[in-house]
Amino acid sequence: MSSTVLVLESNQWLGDQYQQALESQGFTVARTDDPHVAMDMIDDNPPSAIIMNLLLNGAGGVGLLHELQSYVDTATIPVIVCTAQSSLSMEDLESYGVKKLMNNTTMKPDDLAAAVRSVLA
Amino acid sequence: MVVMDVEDRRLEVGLSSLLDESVLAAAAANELTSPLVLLRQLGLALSDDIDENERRRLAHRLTLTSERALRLAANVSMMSVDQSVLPLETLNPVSICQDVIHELTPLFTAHGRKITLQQRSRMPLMVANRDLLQRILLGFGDNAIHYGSDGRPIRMTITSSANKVRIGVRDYGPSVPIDIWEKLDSRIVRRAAAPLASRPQTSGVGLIAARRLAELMESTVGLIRHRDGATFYVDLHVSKQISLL
Repeated sequence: MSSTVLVLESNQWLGDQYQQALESQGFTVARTDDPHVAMDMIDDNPPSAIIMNLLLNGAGGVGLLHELQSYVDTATIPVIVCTAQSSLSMEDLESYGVKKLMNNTTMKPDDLAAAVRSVLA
Repeated sequence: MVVMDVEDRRLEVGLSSLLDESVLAAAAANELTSPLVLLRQLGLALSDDIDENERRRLAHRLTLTSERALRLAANVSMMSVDQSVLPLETLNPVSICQDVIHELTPLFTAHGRKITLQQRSRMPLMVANRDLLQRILLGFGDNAIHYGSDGRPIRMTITSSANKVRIGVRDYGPSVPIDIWEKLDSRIVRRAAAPLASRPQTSGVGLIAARRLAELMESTVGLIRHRDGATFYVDLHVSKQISLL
């Protein structure tokens, strides 16, 4: 059975590209751009990993990271942050449970699947 | 419902800082990163081995995304235009809105969204610069695109009072802060221009540019917050031309 990756990206078309890149590498992808919906999806069907932008509708990505860290069962889901915000560093995000930080201004489509594999290994 | 006008004195302070070109350039560059990231990903996907339908879909998205980014860049560049070179003319608000909807429809359709015009039967003519007004409304439309659905299309509205015509763009997105303009100003002044926290696709620089473009034709922009969204509007002076005939 393939691993499920939850993708949270507020830009619909960018999310489409992420989904396509992951599915082409054999992953099953779930999508939303809403952190509240994401928590429901995670509760219903915990993903193997989460790829997310920090700029999301409503509560935003940081709010979701806080929520994930608040529960034992969700705190262990590896999170990959994919952002154009070059000012961020892993030091800033590690305490939020983030396993990998990707700069989407330089990454290539195959990098996403490689990142998921690395956090699942 | 809370109505806010942008003629707040506090905003003048922020606006004057905005005119520092280097600050604005940094903010605009930051703002344009998002469409550039998407353009790059679409371009990379185009270079893959894909079928003709997929190639067309990606090319269409490339075109629409680049047009949207260009509109934002053009609006920012217009902010420093000399007011004296911008002629004001008498315009029909319905015709302007129809033109804007016509231009935005391909982008909305590609996102699975709709944009409609809601108006009363008789609307007065107004005084504006056609190009600037279209830019403002296109910018509002670009911002609204992520905040509608098939059941709830984005609505352009035209209303009028004794001496003003108000053209608004109503969306159904997350709430926006009541002091949105002040927040946007302070972010840009800090060189930290970023989308609104609750609306990541809403262009901070785009809204600031809209306000400046409105000022260039002696009009104002503002925001009405709704329980389930927002209306960004521009107020324009009613033309007295007809009454002189």
